Amino acid sequence: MDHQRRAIADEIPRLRRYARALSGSEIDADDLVQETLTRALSHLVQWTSGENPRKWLFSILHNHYVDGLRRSTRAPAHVSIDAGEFTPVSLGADAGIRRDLDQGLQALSEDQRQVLLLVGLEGLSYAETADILEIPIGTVMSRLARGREKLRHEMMCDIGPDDVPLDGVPVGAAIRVRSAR
Amino acid sequence: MSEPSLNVSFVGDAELHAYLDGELTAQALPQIEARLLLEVNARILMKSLKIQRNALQKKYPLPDDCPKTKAMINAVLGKLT
Repeated sequence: MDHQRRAIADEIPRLRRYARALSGSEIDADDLVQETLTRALSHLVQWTSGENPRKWLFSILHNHYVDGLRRSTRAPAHVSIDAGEFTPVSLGADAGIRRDLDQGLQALSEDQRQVLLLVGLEGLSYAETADILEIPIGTVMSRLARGREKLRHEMMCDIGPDDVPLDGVPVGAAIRVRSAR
Repeated sequence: MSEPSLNVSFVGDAELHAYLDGELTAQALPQIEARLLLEVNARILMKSLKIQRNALQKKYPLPDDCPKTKAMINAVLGKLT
């Protein structure tokens, strides 16, 4: 039992980070994590011993978050950079990127933000993300691609065909692949 | 040996992202030409994804050494603070 509690405790920083990125509020995020931990500790038998609890804990957190969204009629909270212990390190010259990131996250749908944060921020695999969100891997891929594209557009880091010549291959041409068989 | 037929296929963003995330290897694509072009696309996308990931991680640093996290950890471990 102790090693289970230790393994769960090890995931708390990641849970807090994801919850905060998802909800956009430190208070809501901590409530979410507290509830996740309470549920996890009261349902330890559901966790297959020997497995990393990360996927299990993120699933609990996600389900609780979705339940909250369904209960609430309010729009998803604004994702902003506010004061507190989560205050990010100074981005200095990257302030523009930070602002664009804020706008980009706002532009994402709830579904796209969930996938992008799980893969892009938490580094989970597509399969783990699909399990957590209870969707097919193909849906993970399409939501991720669309979410990243939106974010890229907002962050203005798109690279045009004239910007990066790579071995004389026009970038635009790279989208269409002619294959011989 | 017959003349190879030409097919037009598309490497979509989803496949490229899968490749960049290590979910799809270039070898999964059978045609050499497709693999090379996938690499080109991947290198271009990689730059913007790196910017995105860095920005996300800077915006949301891992709170592994802050009082609230420590309090939660202690609570889970049943330790008094």
